[in-house]
Parts: sequence; C-alpha cells; structure tokens
Amino acid sequence: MTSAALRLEARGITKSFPGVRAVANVDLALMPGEIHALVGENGSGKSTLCMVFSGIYRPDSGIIFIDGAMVRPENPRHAQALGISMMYQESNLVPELTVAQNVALGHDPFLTRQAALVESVAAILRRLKFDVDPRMKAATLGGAQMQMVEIAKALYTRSKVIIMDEPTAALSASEVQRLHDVIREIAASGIAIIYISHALEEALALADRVTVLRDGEVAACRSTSELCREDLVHLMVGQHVEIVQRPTTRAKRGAELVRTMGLCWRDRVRDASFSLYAGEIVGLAGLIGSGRTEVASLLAGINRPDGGQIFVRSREVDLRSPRDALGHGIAILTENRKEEGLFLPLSVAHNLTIGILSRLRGIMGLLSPAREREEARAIADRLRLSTPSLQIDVRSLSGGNQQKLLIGRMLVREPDILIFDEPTKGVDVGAIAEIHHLIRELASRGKGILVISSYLPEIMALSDRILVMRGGEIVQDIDAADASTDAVISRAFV
Amino acid sequence: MNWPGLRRVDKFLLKNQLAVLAVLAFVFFALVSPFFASAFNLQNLAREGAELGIVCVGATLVLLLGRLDISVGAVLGMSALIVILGCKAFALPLPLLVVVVLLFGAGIGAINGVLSSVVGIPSFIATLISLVILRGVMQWASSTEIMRTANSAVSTDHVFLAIGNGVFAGIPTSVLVLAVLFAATILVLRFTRIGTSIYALGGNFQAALRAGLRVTALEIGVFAFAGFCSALAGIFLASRLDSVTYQTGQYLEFYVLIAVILGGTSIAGGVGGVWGTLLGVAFIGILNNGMVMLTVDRDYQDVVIAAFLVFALVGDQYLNRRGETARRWQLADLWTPRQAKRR
Amino acid sequence: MEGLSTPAELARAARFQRARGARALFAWAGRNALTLIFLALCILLSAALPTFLTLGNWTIILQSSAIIGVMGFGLSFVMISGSFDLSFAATMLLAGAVSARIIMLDDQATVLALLAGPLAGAVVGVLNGTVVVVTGISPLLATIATAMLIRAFAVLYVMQTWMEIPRSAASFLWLGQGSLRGIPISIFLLAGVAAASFILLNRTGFGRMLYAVGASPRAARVAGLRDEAVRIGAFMICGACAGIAGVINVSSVGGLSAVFNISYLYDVITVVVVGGVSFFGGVGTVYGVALGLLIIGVLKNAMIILNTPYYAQSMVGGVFLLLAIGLDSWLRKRRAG
Repeated sequence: MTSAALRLEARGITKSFPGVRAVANVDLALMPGEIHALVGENGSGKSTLCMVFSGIYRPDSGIIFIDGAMVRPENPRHAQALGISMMYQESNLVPELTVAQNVALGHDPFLTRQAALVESVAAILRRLKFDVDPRMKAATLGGAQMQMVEIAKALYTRSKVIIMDEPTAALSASEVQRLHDVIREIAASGIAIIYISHALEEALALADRVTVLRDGEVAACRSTSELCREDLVHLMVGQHVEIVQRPTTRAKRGAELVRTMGLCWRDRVRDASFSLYAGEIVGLAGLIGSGRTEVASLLAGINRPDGGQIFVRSREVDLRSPRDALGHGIAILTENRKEEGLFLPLSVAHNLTIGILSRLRGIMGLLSPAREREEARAIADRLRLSTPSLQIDVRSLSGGNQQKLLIGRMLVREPDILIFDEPTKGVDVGAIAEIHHLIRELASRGKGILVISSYLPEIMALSDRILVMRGGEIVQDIDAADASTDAVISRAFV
Repeated sequence: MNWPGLRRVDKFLLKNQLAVLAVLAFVFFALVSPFFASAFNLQNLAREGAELGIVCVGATLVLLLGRLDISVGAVLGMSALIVILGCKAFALPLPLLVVVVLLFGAGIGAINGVLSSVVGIPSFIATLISLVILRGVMQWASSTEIMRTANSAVSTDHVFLAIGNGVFAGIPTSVLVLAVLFAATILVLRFTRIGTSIYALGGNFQAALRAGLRVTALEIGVFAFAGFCSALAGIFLASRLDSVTYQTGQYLEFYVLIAVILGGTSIAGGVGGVWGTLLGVAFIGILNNGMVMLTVDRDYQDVVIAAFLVFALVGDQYLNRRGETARRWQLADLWTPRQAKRR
Repeated sequence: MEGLSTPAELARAARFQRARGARALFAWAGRNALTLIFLALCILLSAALPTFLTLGNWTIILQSSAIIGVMGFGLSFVMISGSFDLSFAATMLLAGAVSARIIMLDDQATVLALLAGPLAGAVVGVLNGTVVVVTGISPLLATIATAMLIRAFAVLYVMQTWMEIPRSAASFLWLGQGSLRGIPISIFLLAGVAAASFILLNRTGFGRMLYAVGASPRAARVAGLRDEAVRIGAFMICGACAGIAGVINVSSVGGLSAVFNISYLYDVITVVVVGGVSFFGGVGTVYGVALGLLIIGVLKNAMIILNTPYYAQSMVGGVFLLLAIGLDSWLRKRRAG
C-alpha cells in the first residue's frame, strides 16, 4: 500500500517525559474506513500516543502523514484542522451550552446564525440516528448521549481520523452496541477510527486490526480475526508477569462477615446482593462501568445506598462515612490513590502514621518524633517498602511502593474486611507479586477480602469465588475452581 | 418549548422569585416610608440602580468565566476622582476626560486579566492588589489641596452635570446608557462566538482549550470590559455627586457580587447571564435605597446584606451542584488558574 | 583514565563538576529562600539606614508586628486546612470590644478580659467554620459575608463609637504598653502564640490531620479522619488568635474605634503568603510565617524610617505581595506545563 492511500500513517513516533519513555518508535498505519483498536496496559503509552496525534504533545521524533501529506499537529485546534479529532475519557462538553453549540465549539462563525447552525447539526445527528433536539442543553444528556455528541463534533469538523479513548467506560451493554453500530457506520464513510479500550472482547469484536502496546513499544499489530483475547493478554503483558497461581487447597471459609441485599445507588448499582465470608477472597469482575467500584464505595461508606441493606456480622448497619465503615472493620484501598489515598505534599512518614496518631503520643500527650520514626519504620519494614528515607515526599515513591504504603495504612486499624479496588494498577511487576502475596496472606489470617480488578487473570488467580457484575447487578456468583475465563467474560460482556 | 429538566424549572422559579422579591420589597418600602415612593427618590433610586447595574454587567461576565473581581469599587472610585479632578480642577474638555477615564478602567482591567491568565495569580489576589494600589492612590490624592478645592467647588459645567443628573425623554441618562450596554452585552453573549466562548471557558475549561478557543485573550478582554464598566459607572457617579472621597465605591464589590449571584450567575462559572443580573440589581438597589430611607443603622444594613449574600451562595451551591455529590468548595476551585498540560 | 587525557576534555569535566556544585547551591538557595531574603534585606538596610540595627528599632519592629503576626499564625491554620478566612479582622474588632467592655465595667478584671478576648474569638471561629464547612460554600465569599455580620454585631451590641480604657486599669494596659526587662509584653505574647502554633501543628494529632485534610480532603475522608471537625477546629484557632490580637490592640492603643481598616486584612495575607503557606492547603510552616512576618516587618520599618507616606506603604506592600505570589504562580505554571 502506498503512503498516499493510507488515511493516517505514523512512523517512529517517540515521546519521552523526564524519567520515563512513554512512547518508543511506534509505527501505525490506518486505511480509510478502518477501525483500529489500540490496547495495552496502563502506562503502555496508548494515551500518550494519541495525544501526540491530537496535538497535545509534540513528539520527540517521528513523522505523521495524513492522506500522504506530512503533518505536524501543533495544538489540538491545529490537529482538528488537519482532520484528526479526539474523544477524551473525561467529558468534553460544556454543560450550559446547547448540543448545537457544543458540536460547533470553536468552529462557529463570529456571528452565530442560530437557525443555520441548528440545521447543520441536526443533519449530522440524523445521520447518527441520534434523536435529540440540538437546542437542548448538554447538561441534560446522559452518558451515552454525550458520546454521540462527541462523535457529532468530530463529524462537524470533517475529521478524517477519530480517536476514541475508552468511549464505553460508562455505558450499559445495549448502549455499547448502539455505539458500535454508529462507529461502523461512520467508518463506512471513509473515516479511520482509533479505538482505545480496556474491554478486549469489545475491541476484538469491533475492530478490523489491533495494535498492542507494551512499555511504549509496539508488541504486535495484527488483524483481529487472527487473535483471540488470550493472545492479546499475552501480548500486552509479555513474558514478564507471573501471576502467582492459586493454591490448590482452599482455605477454610469462616463466618459470614458482610452481606448485602438489594443495594442500589443512583443508576450505577441496581440490586446488588452478595455475601463475604472470613478467610476468603472474592473477586469482583466486570467491565469498566459495571458498577463494581460503586458497590465497593457503598460498602466502604464513601457513598450511601439509595436502597437495600448492608449487614455486618449479621447486624444491619447504616454506613454514613468511611469513618463509620472503619468502625465496623471495613477498610478500602481505592482505585485512584492520587486523589483518594495519598496525601501528596506530605512525607512518607506522615502518610504512614496518619491512622495511628494515638500511638505516637509521648510527653504530655504530644507526638514524639522518635516514636513516630519507630512506628513508621516498623510499618515500612513489614511491607518491605523500599525508600531511601521516610521523610521524602510521597510523590517520589514508585507506584508499587505507594500502593504498599496505602495497604500498610489500611492495616494499622486491623480491619476484618478489606476491599481492594484495582490494587495493582500502575504498579511495577515486582511489586505486583508482593501485593498478591500480601492479599493471600491476609485471607489466610481470617480476613474477608473483596478484590476488584479489570485484569481477569488477576481475578482468576487470586479469588476463591468470583462475582460478575454487569449493568449494576451481580449476575453470577461462581466458585473460582469451576470458572473458566470464557465463562466469566461472556457473562460480563453479553 | 420543552422543559429539558428540573434544573431549568428550578432556575426559572428562582429568577421569578427574585422579581417577586423585588416587587415585594418595593411595595414594603413604599408603604413603610413616606419618602420612598416620591418622584425624587424614585429618580435617585433609578440612577443608583443604573450605576450599580452598569458595574454588574461587567462583573457578570467575569463571574461567568469563573473568576472574581474585587477591584470594581476601587476602579469606580478612581475613575470618579479623575473625572472630578479633570473637570473641576484642571478644566479639561469633557469628551477627552471621558475617553481617558474609560481607557483607564479598561487598562486596569486588562492588567488584572494579564495577572490572572498569563501570570497565573488567583483572580482574587490579583484584583485585591489592584484594589489596594488604587485605594492607596486615592488616599494620597484626596489629601492634596487640589482635591479639596475641587470637591468643595460646585460645578458650573452644565454638560458635566447633565451626565449624572440629566434626563432624556423622562428617563435618567444613566438608565439609558445601562439599557444600551445591557442590550449590547446580551447580543454579544447570545449571538456571537465571543459569548459562546465565555460560557465555554467558565463551564468546561478543558473543553474550551481543546476546541482551540483563545483563552488568554478572552480572559484579558473580559476583565478589561469589567474595568470599562466600572469606569463608566464612576463617571456617572462623579457627575451626580459632584464630589469624591477616598472612600467612594468602598464595599461596592459586595453589592455587585450579591446582585450577580442572586441573579443566577454561579461563581462556578459558565452558568447564568445578564438578565438575572438585572433582576438582582433591581432587588439590591431597592433594598439598599429602602434601608437608607428608613434610616436603618448602617450596621443593620450590613447584616441584611450579609445575610442575603449567604443566602445567595447557598442557593447557588444547591442549584449548580455539578457531579453526583454535593460539590464541596475548596479554595482551589475558585482560584485555580486552570492549566492545561502543554508540551 | 584514557578518555580524560586531553586538556579540552579535562576542562569540560571540570566545568561539569563545578556546574554540579552550582546546581546543588541553587537547590539549597531555593529551599531556604525566605531566610536568605530576610538576611539580605537586613544587611542592605543596616548599610543604608544607620538606625536600623539598634535594639530600640528592633523592639519597634517586633511590637508593631505583634498583632499582624498573631493573626497570621491563626490564618495559617485555616489555610493549611484548605480553607480561607477573611473575617479575622472583624473578629479582632469584636474580641477587642468584648475585652474592652469588661475592663470598662471593672478596671481590675484584667485576667477575665484577657481570657474573654480569645474566647469570644474562638466562639466566632467555630460559628464561622460551621457555616463554611457544613454548607460547603466557597470559604472566600462566605467569610466575606460573616465578616460583615461579625462587624455589625460588634458595632451594634458591644461597642460605643469610641471606647476608652480608663487609666486605672493599669495591669490591662500593661499588656499592650508595658514591657519586661525592656522587651514589650506584646512581643512575649507573639512568641507565645508562635510557640503554641508550632506545637499544635507539628506535635499534635490535630496538626497532622490538618495537613492531611488540607492536602486531600477526599483522601482524609476515606482514611476515616474527621475532616469536618478538623476544619472547624482550624477556624476556631484562627478566631482565638484574632481574639488575642484584638486584646493586644485594645490594650496598646488604650481604646477602640469602629473604623474598618482593610490594611490589617491585607498585611496578614501578605505575611502568610510570603511565608510560604499555600492557598491550596497542606503546605506551610510556622517558621515560614515567622520569616514572612519579619520580612514584611522589616520592610515596613524601613519605609517608616524613610518617612514614606501611609498610602505609599500599602502600595509597596501590594507590590511585594504581587511579586511573591506572582513568582509562586508563575513557577507553578511552568512546572505544570
């Protein structure tokens, strides 16, 4: 294929930031009308690569061609003018402006001719078979509708390449289908689509070809008909990670620690009911957006359920805050440690000891720096936290160490029920094994553990029992020994 | 027309509530105070309201951006001072003076805008600094001999007096100017790209950046406009009162804030508009004037005003809750010069 | 080592070594910038103004800084917790009025008046804090409103237009005007507040939680900390400090008037910002605020010695605040993108 026939061609794209090489020598080639999936673990460079295409970053080296002509997107606006538009993960709409205004944002003429604008936007919406009045305010739309508006935006600017970053994160199964139909339709008109997703089955079903990124480099680029999900996982992860296999002997299951009945919350959780026993690890599987994190947040007291009940040790409880939950022995490690876990400008020692301040008291009830050093050191050693000093800023720790720090903090209050939400996200390989070991050990000591992960092999390896969530409900509850990956996936996705 | 959501109904009700409140307040004061409903007072009320309104138009745009400008009172006072000095002490030609003062106001506003958008200083601090510097200058100027003579002399320039005190077809000049300014602003907000961009910037900064909107220029422009409005109001005030003290315009920023927020513009940015501000100005103007008419103690007035400010803020918080949980304000929310990662 | 044999390469290696030293120096300078600025200012001014380094002059510097310093320490608690409080000047007025009232009723009730000030301030602080924290509205605007309310309350219910402390209340007046071994009592009070602030911030659980809540309220909530109580506590301390400042003010002036003085607000903010306390919470030290106080105090002192008029002083203060925060914001912006 000659260059000119390709819609988008990128050769040798490299982009580094201080201390990390995000994208290294990546090639990518898209034909007109091709749907190309881009997959990889967190930190593999997917988002960075696309931000290079969409003009947010400028590559250190490499060239980009659009329809055979070399281009260098200087900024997002320029990239749009070149025909590349990107749909971001977070909402890119202005809530108070109308749909029409949002679609035309930045491209409307100086004097807005309302009627003409509404008409042209309505035409695009009709093409998408999206039934909404362009004069409505964007704030009134739901998640799936917002995606449609974003696509409309891309069409309005006559994009040749549309990059979609996790477009189905917050969608229900039927909405995902709708979106896929729309994507196929616009691809049919010649637009090339880069589809970034963690939902590998989705990506395989939708795309023509897939590129797997690993550590910033292209691990593989194949046609989707040649690959199955396992292959993708294997390519994403490479040879490095050995998931510690489940021990063949099951730990004894103890008393029932937590039971939920019919939990619901907003429209994210509908009727979640399950139990958690002492000494067992329950894995919560499902696609992003299926409500797993939300269920965890209800258990941990971060949100209050709109309906349903929670029983801790057979007594009904009303968890109004994380403090309440901790009082009942429930602790959580959330999935975004930067915002809900770590105290960023503070030192490692401060972060470690914030939960046990009462133990640090010395003369006259004041904190003793010596005792703080001791306690912090003790916790750090127990977790094998590798850091040159405890006084350094917590930001300079690696992801794995940060996660271990938070686990250590979680444990000081000796909770019986532990919730881990994406415990190994953004964690280096060595630490992953340590964290898994830690979780197993905690279970063997009689704690009840709930693990949420989007990485199915992790769930399969860690769990004694697997709950599958879809659309806010728990749709399956199976013993891990009886589960096979395909069975779990099919229940999660279909 | 369809009602796209409960929020819209809520806001509609609030706007109507404000109109009802304003009418109620008017009726109340008219009944309780014999002088309130007199033609003289009503004219005065209209003029005061117009001056407040002119400042509020500019302030509304600043708030729409999600920024804060507390220097409006100082700019107004300084402009009034320049006008009084120029006209009465130095007998400069009026048109020239007007142009100079308006440029001055716009200039101070532009500096505020540059500090806020380019340097990245939180808008509160940037405008606080402007306030202090301007008030310092005013204090110095008011203590000079020239200022004292200028203040004590009664102006003989008819044109000058007509600005603030004149009537055109029965309507005070300042009200007319407000109407024109208001209409122009509405047109720009509704029908031009600038208006859409302002709402976009305030509503979703990231989206605005990615759409390629000229963020810096817009911010500087809006602050400059606010300065311009303050200066314009200052001209009217100077003409009406024929004198100025170093305290002229003090506390104005609070009234402005209350009027704009009560009128439905959120301090979060991106929500609201000048129609609501108009109602807010009407209400605050009536309230203020009425309390003065009833010779309410200055400090009780403060209490009332402060109470309304709290009410306005809580109402704003309730109506404009974004996201799924109540948005707890952090200092950073209002102040953060919003940055985007650019390489 | 073969590679370094040529003179050119040796020179290059030497330059690199020196550069490394220079880089380390820059880093150290950045960390200790405040101290360096302070020392530089002192050296400059003592060279330029003959009276600068005298004990008498320094006594004046510290004494005039006492009120601002005390309020500065109080405000830093609130700012570290991630909020803001614009009403401390009004609280100072109210607390001063309360203690003045008590003295005027009984001119020997010094202890009571001394305690009543901070107590009143603390009560106001708790109310303030509750409004801000529970409703969740912007602390900036909310405290503007509460400032107006506090001031109105003070003027309407506690004060007369001008209150004068009778000469017979000797021990009360001694607080603000007296001295011990040549050092004014107000300086002791300032030092006491500084020490107490240090202990509170660095050696108590409350202080630790304050930093945590300011750094990330969400993380604090998830970790089970009582973030609302901590934040209200910060407001209470700020109010108490404003109360102490009010007592010092009344005692040193010998009376109280209801004139609102924006320069207090302004000076305290300047001191705190220059002292390195961040608006975003979680950052700030007592040492920094103390240095900020000294720097601003020295600047003001220099201006007074040079006979700069009053308005010019606030303008210079404004410029300084601009520089301090402008630099901080500019650097933050550069670091982010």
